[in-house]
Amino acid sequence: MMPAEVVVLIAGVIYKRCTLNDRGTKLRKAILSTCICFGTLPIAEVKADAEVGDVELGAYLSAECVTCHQTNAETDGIPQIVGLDPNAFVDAMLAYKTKQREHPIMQMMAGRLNDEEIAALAAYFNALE
Amino acid sequence: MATGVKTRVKLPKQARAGEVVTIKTLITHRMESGNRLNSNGLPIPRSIIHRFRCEFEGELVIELDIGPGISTNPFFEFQAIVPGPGVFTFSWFDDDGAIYTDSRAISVVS
Amino acid sequence: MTWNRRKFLGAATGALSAPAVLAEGSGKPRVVVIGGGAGGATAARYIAKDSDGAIDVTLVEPSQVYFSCFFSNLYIGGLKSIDEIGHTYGALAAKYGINVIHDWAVAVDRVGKNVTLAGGQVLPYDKLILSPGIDFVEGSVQGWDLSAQNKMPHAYEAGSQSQLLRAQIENMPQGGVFAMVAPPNPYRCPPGPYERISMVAHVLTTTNPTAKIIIADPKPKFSKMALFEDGWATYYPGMIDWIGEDFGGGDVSVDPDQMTLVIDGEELAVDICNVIPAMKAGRIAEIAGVTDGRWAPVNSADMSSKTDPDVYVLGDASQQGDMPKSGFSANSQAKVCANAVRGALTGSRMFPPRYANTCWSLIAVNDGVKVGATYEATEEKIARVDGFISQVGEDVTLRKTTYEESENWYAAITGDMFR
Repeated sequence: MMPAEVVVLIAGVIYKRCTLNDRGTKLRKAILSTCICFGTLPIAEVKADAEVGDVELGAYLSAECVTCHQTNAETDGIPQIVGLDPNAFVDAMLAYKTKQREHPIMQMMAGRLNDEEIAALAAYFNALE
Repeated sequence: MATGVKTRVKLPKQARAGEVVTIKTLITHRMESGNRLNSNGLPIPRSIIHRFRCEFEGELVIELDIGPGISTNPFFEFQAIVPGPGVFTFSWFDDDGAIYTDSRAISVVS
Repeated sequence: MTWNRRKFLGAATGALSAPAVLAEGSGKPRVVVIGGGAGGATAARYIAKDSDGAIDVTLVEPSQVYFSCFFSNLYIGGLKSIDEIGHTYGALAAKYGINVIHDWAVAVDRVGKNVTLAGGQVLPYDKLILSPGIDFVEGSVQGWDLSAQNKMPHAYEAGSQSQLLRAQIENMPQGGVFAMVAPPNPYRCPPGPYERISMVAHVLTTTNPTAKIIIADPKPKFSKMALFEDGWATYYPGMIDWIGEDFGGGDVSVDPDQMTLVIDGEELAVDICNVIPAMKAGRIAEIAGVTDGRWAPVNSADMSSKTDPDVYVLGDASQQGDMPKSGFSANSQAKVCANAVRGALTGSRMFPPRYANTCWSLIAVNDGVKVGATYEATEEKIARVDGFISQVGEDVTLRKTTYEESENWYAAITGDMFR
């Protein structure tokens, strides 16, 4: 098994213990601490950092999101993701990907996004006004 | 009696004497498990087809005892030898006491 | 402002309706899109939007107003108005500079690389995108042809056909019989016929409770079958009779003058007969010579035709592998195609294809279900990767949320196509 996969697995386990309130911080710390434990660079942390996200890739990938998420209207159902804080975006996607957050479509869609793609999407939606 | 029950049978109208024919039957039936609650929180009485029988002119062709794990709308397909002209009768027995029946005549060509 | 959408559309298309001249004068690469539905409108919009005017995009669509097939069953069920499922092309022209031409494409010259319209106009292209939807296979339901569609409507292209079917249901005699002849696979919108049955039953339960519904189906099973059958038993007990392949549902003929339907040798008098025949790619795909049998085979990487790398086929008309023929699929394919077309014409960055689909269906008011999957491009086809489906016995809150989600999706996807 690759170190990165181990990191994700263990982060997932630790994440399960997190409360709903501060899942983001705890997840970040969890990833960071497991990375340190394993003596690897915190790759997951760096990659999921929205500031280095590839906006062009994000723009392409976002086409998949906007089939359901409206970009130009306030909604009370499927949430608005334009302008979303990148950290909140990354947290949400990781929570769906690890099936900590319920929703079959989002678990499926997030499930096939890698860290680079999640970071790209976070950066893109953050930049959109 | 369960509501919305409908039986359906398909077999050839004609066969040669001694021919093996395929018979298909379907009963549209909810197969209520008895474990569900209605909107008032009361259990919905169990109503499952527990037995199916097919006869040809009073002679047993097939009888099935069906466990409670059977799906809704149970579908059975089987084969029977047609000795001569006559009528196939079909019966489905419901836990709630109802018996649903259907029949089909078959003629014989030489 | 006294502008309404229709006036605005007229002005916008009027001002831009000399595309051949514009295109030739500009020296820009030219893309012609035929068909303004979920595939074509999305492809045109994405290419125009993302190329920032570097590509001339012409969209050919005969209808001034697009009525979406998706949600048209909700119109038949009285839950949506016809205006709510109607969309116009004004923003595509005004906001993205797309040349929208309301005409039929009648010929494609793949050697000379141009398209001829019914009005005589000839549109040259560098890349051609065909998204013509479906046509019906002649003779697939004995006794029915297109000339019978006013007596026995298909309502499988939304608009006047949907209005006719809804009017027939409203005027059906008490205790009458509504029959549907369901289509064989593959066809547009796999759960569509059964959602329609649910919506018809919803109307009849309140207005005509002794009416009966009969479905003659050439298939042994259908999309979301367990969910629909469970819902039908709950909401419409005893009303709906589904006759599948095992009981002769595929052995059907109709007589539109006598209003009779023969199923497996037994004749029935019916009050309404909704005939949904077997389907094939929209005719322009056949005319363009990119079909093989009923559908147009495409490469999984970019939706380009297996016959011609400069022609792309999207949505229902394409034969791509595992994706169902749905508006969501067409929209997803259009984005992959748009990225590939831009890359080829302007050298913009190209990304690996990715496809997804979700189909929502409404069984009764506020009782929605869904099925969805993700797909990847393999050597031979678009292949399913992962998926989910609603479960029998879900609680009412979840079903209501699912329905509300579908309404949100409808607003989003039509925005993604037209705004």
